[in-house]
Amino acid sequence: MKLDQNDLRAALNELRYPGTDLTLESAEIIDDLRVKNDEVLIRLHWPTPFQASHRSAREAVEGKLKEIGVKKTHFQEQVEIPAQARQGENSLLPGVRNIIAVASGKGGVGKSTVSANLALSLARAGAAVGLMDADVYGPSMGLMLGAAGRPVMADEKTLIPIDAQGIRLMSMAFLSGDDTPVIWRGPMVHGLIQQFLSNVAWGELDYLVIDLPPGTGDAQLTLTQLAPLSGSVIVTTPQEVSLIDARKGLRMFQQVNVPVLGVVENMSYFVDPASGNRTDIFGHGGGKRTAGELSIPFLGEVPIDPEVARGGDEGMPIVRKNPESPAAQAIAVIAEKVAGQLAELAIKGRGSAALHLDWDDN
Amino acid sequence: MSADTKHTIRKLEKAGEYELRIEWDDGVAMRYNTATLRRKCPCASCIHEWTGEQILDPLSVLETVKPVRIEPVGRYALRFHWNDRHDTGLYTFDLLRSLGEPESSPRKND
Ligand SMILES: Nc1ncnc2c1ncn2[C@@H]1O[C@H](COP(=O)(O)OP(=O)(O)OP(=O)(O)O)[C@@H](O)[C@H]1O
Ligand SMILES: [Mg+2]
Ligand SMILES: [Zn+2]
Repeated sequence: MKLDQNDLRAALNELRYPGTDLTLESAEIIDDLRVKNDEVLIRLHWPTPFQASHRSAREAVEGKLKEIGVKKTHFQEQVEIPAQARQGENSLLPGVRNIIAVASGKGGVGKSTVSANLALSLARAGAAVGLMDADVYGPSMGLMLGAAGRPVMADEKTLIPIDAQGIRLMSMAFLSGDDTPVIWRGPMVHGLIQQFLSNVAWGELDYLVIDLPPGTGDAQLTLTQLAPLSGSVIVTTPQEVSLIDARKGLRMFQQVNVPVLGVVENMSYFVDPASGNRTDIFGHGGGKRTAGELSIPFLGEVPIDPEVARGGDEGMPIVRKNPESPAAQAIAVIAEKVAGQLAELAIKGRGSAALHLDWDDN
Repeated sequence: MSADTKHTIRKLEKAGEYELRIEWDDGVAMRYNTATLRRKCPCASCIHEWTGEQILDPLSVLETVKPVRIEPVGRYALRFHWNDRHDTGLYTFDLLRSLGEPESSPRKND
């Protein structure tokens, strides 16, 4: 049988990238396809960094091609995280392809823990990742990532983020100069955030994770309005108070049209290491229910694990400290979902017109 | 409560010297006279922040007012730089959606 490009493309037509509704074909994940006799060379551009996704997509491709008589498939693979369409020319954070805001309606629910581990999961998969600790009220990222040192100035006003476990890190704590919490007032917060967004040399990043301050006040609103956010993740605990506040967070993002990538339920349940018994200390499942009610995705639940807390205190987050633990695995899955959704948003938004218009040039 | 549907802009274009055209994500297209749009500026020097009363005298806006430049702010608003040098107004998508004149018939393959 003589195969040509069209046969191959038809055979692969339906295949989707794992965890997304992107077809390999329409999303241009299949970048090139060549046939020679009964062998095929296929060039793939993966839109997320996770190897497990690559592997399952590759196997699906191979399977389909085998069905139509291809003897051998050669792969050329490359990770190419798509950038979100920007609607402005002079936008902030120009080299950053995706910007993820991690928010919570309430303090203490594990927002910073999730931010740090999410960033690390993406970085460990091979992506270029930055982490911005924008919690003006209680910056904690330096400690959580065990980062010593201060950022250096590239020039009079530009700060270079520090390297923390392979992540480029900037924290509000670095600006205030010491570790005592600073009480910033409204207009100061606005200025500070503006500075933070414009004066950090992030370089090229696949993902920038922003740990927002808890709540839905001025600082949060300013950030969501100023930063060209690609999407947001809302962290909650299963308790009702926390869920109510999560709804407020959702509304804040909707108001400024930032897509909500989903809800994470942290401290969801506890597994007793001795007996293996599971207890729903705070009544688990509220996050999923709330997400359903609000028609936003549910990203996953992270169990309570004293090792998570210890990891944060020691500057060694759980996804590095114990990647096999259920909490680390849960966060890794969340990271995959987040990356998949961002890829979908970026690829579907391709070609969307710039909302920038110079009147007299038209 | 369900996720309320907010409209986003698919296309922004100059339709005439004094006419702006916006195409929305749901396919609705609207037109805006530039001077009328300038008169609706929502900024604090045009509209009183507390009372919502208009401070700007609409008669002071000439019919020849048009944008010099329009740029996006976040994902929810546009900033207009007008040729009368006014540039403090952030027009949210919601506001723009409410101010436009819907086009009577959808334009063909544009
Ligand atoms: N899944 C978990 N299991 C056990 N402890 C956790 C878990 N998640 C977070 N913690 C611990 O709970 C505390 C609060 O977490 P974290 O600082 O991440 O919350 P936060 O929402 O950022 O708080 P804040 O509002 O103070 O910024 C920390 O001591 C952290 O180590
Ligand atoms: Mg925190
Ligand atoms: Zn005005």
